[in-house]
Amino acid sequence: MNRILSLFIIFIFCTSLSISQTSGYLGKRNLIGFNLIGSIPLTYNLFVLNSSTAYGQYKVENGKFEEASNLFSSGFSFSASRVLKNRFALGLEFRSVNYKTLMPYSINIRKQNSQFAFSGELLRAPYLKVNDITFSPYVEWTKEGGLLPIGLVHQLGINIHSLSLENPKSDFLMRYQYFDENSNYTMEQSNETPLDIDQINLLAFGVNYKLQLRVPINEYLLFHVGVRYQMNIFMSQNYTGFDWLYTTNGTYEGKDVTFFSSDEIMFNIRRSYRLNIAQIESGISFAF
Amino acid sequence: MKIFSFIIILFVALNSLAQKNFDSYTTIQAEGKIPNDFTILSSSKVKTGMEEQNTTLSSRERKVFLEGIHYGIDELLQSGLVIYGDEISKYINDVADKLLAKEKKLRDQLRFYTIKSNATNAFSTDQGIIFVTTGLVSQLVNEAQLAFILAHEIAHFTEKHVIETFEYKSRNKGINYQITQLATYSKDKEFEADILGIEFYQKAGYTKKDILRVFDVMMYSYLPIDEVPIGRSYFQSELCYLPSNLFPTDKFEIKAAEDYDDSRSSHPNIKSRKEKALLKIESLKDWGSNSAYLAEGRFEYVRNISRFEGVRLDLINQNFLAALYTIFILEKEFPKSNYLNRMKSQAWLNIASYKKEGKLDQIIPKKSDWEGEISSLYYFIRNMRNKELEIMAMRTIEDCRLKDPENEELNLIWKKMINSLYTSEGFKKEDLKSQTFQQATDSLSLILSENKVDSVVTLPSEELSKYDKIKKKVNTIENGSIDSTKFYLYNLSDLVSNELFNREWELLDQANLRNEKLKDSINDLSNRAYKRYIKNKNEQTDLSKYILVDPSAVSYTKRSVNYEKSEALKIKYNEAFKNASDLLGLELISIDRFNLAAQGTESFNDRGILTSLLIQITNSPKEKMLVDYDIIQNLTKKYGTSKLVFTIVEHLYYPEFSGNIFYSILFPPLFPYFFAAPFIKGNNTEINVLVLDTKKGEITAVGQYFFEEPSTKLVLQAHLYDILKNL
Repeated sequence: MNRILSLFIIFIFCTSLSISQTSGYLGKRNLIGFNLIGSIPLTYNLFVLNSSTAYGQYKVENGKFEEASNLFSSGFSFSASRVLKNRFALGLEFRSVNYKTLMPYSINIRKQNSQFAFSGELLRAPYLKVNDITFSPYVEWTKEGGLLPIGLVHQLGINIHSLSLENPKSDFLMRYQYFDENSNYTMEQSNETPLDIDQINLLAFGVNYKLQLRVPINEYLLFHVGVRYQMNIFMSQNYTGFDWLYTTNGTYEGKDVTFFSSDEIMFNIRRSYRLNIAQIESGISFAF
Repeated sequence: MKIFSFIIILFVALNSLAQKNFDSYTTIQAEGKIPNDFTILSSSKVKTGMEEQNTTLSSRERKVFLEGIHYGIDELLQSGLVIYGDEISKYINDVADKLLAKEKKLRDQLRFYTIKSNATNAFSTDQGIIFVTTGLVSQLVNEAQLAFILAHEIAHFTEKHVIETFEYKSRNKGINYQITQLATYSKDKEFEADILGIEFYQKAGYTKKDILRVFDVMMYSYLPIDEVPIGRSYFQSELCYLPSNLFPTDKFEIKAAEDYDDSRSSHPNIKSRKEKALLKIESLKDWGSNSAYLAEGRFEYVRNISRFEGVRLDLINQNFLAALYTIFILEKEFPKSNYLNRMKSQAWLNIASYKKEGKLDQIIPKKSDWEGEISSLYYFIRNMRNKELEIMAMRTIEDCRLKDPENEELNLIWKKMINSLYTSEGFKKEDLKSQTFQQATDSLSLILSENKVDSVVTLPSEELSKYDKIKKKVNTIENGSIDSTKFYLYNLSDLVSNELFNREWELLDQANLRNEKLKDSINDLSNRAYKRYIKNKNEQTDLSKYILVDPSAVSYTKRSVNYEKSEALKIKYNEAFKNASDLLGLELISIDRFNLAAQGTESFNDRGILTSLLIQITNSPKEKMLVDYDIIQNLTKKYGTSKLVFTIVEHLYYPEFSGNIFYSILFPPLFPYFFAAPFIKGNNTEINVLVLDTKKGEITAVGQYFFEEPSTKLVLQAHLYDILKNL
């Protein structure tokens, strides 16, 4: 946090050069903003979920798996920017967003007990929580005639992501099924936590574009609402952090079955980013 | 006897006062308490109108109608052209009192105002306002004629013609609607107003002989206030020689006819109106014999005010030749009028400026439109070459100045004209002759007789060679010469040795020399130094104290103007201006329509003057003079600033989605962007600001700003803050 504060002070210092023609908002050229962020994977819900290629997506509801259509991601951000010219500004953003990465696979490990009877394990996980902390320097501009920091603002930023996975705890559900010669079966279910992923950290880079409308509320406060698009490039060297997750929980037809591989985790994190490519955010800023 | 003497003294005193007024005439202005028509917001008027249920219109139609009449008429009332309580308005009201002496209730519903306009027009509105232009009053012959025109307009009001026409138009939108149908409908209303007007007029006891003459007034209203020949004798003087070929030999026919084709016109032709009026006149008995009820001389006094005002309006609207012709007519009655003297100088200064800029066609009508005596003036001005016209202008301005040499305004015009001459291409002061043309020709005759030198050309013209003809034209002799084609060089002979003129010329020489030196030093500058020089040169406009003249605002929908929002926007914009100025520490003096009741008639008049100043300056060529020079100087002193800010904000909200839906389907994640962006980008706001300096008499800064943002008060305030800071 101290590092971020230092960066912010350096940033303010570097951009404190006065340009006399620049007015800012009623003479105020610095802006500190707070945003609430939300993302509903609408595109997934609308266009992917019902298609034949859909991956399952679940949540736990009253101890049962329910098919989920919109896993809401939320977060917040702080930003600071300085208007250098009426149409150009520089800024920094600190952003924290909790994603829910989808874990769509159910893994069925069956054991043949006799000709008619078998037992098996069915493992499903609704989602993994990923906490994404992003530090993002950005440039801000507006169309001709615009007057930063108010109005319709375009932002282009470089993202430095620090991702950490949160242990899903009881969100994991294990099922055990037994069958006998008479086709009777019994089922048990319990919540377990087979994995411990708290230690995983991932560094990523990316770019974002934001379109934001800032409307003045009074002489100091601005209300803003906008949409943000992001595209991330993950660093492969951190990929190895998942190695210890390789776990063999059973066999099927003589072969070992791997539950959660790093490949799967990474795949799902990437996918959740793709599904959250557009984020809606809204908040207020203080101009000074 | 004592009473008789008193009346005589009073009459003389009043007469001399009136005469004095015309000698130092200043524009007519509103007087007394501001009528409610000017102070009540249009939206309130519409609201009140909506509460009344006295029409057959649907609620929606009524709203459209009320918005149309109130916002439209209020715009006119606030334009600075309409005045109340002045001599003309008082007179019109007094005539209306006589006309409606037996119709008290009707009289109480009506308000009469004057419009400062040279158009010959009068019209009534559904809300009971009757407007009469100064142009109409200036064309009338007597009080009875005005009374008939008022009676006609009152009939339009009593018969509710405005709302009926609106209803007719609304009801006939669906069918194959034709202009000719509406024209026929409208003509019927005009006939009806004529007939009812005659009844009002007859009941008031006016004479019937003036009714048909009113139609003549209307038919010839496009011509000046009188038909008096204007020619060489008016312009030529002892000091000013003008060859006869500059003036036309033929007359210019007046083409107006009574039975023109009126099938597409809203008004019937004069012939059919006269015929129907005559039938009505003959059907009525007991006609009175009065051409006037009000005090003798009052009509002429009011008409003269209208005519003097007409000169001013012609100058503002760049009708300089019409102004000169009216001055020519008025000079006969008011030969010592300083006002006419000043206006004449201004007209010539402007004409010379237009000629110099090669834009004379903009101020002279097409030759095919030349009619009546004024056409001789068109002919004269058009046929003068550049230098001839410039020297003619200088001559006239000098003559005007000599009539009142101490007058600041005349001296300023004089200096501007000298400056115009100085910068005229190919003009050399040394070319000016110190003799008048007459003196030169007299000397020449003397030389010819003393030397017994025959004229070069003695043969009949058909026997002359080409060179003899040229010599005849140039009229050159050995010991002296007069080039009659350069007659104009003799027309400033008094100025050649005039100390003031020579000093002014010398000052211009010195200034020119300084400019040349500056140009040389600028040419020697490096790129960087040149940029720095330009930056310093384009200094900001000092708006530390300024007058904000009634900011305008228009809010558009896709198809039309939203009047209600426009008024709300105007209020917001006004407040935003005040707040932005406060934040920047600028002292703003607002002269706007919203505080009229508090600011009073004086502020209303100031706004009218400043608005007409804007019209004049935006229309005028480079060398110009302010028509209301004295009043403007007084206003500058009164408000303590010479900076005027005129501004308008326009807002259109029109989100467009068409292309965006396609892109959203093509790439669904872009849906939020393409869905939200049109709502925001649908806002188009444009601010135009113009700063006018009354001391310099010119526009010192202009700015046009466009942004795609909602026009909230704070957004406007932020942009205005930036505009005022950097203007």
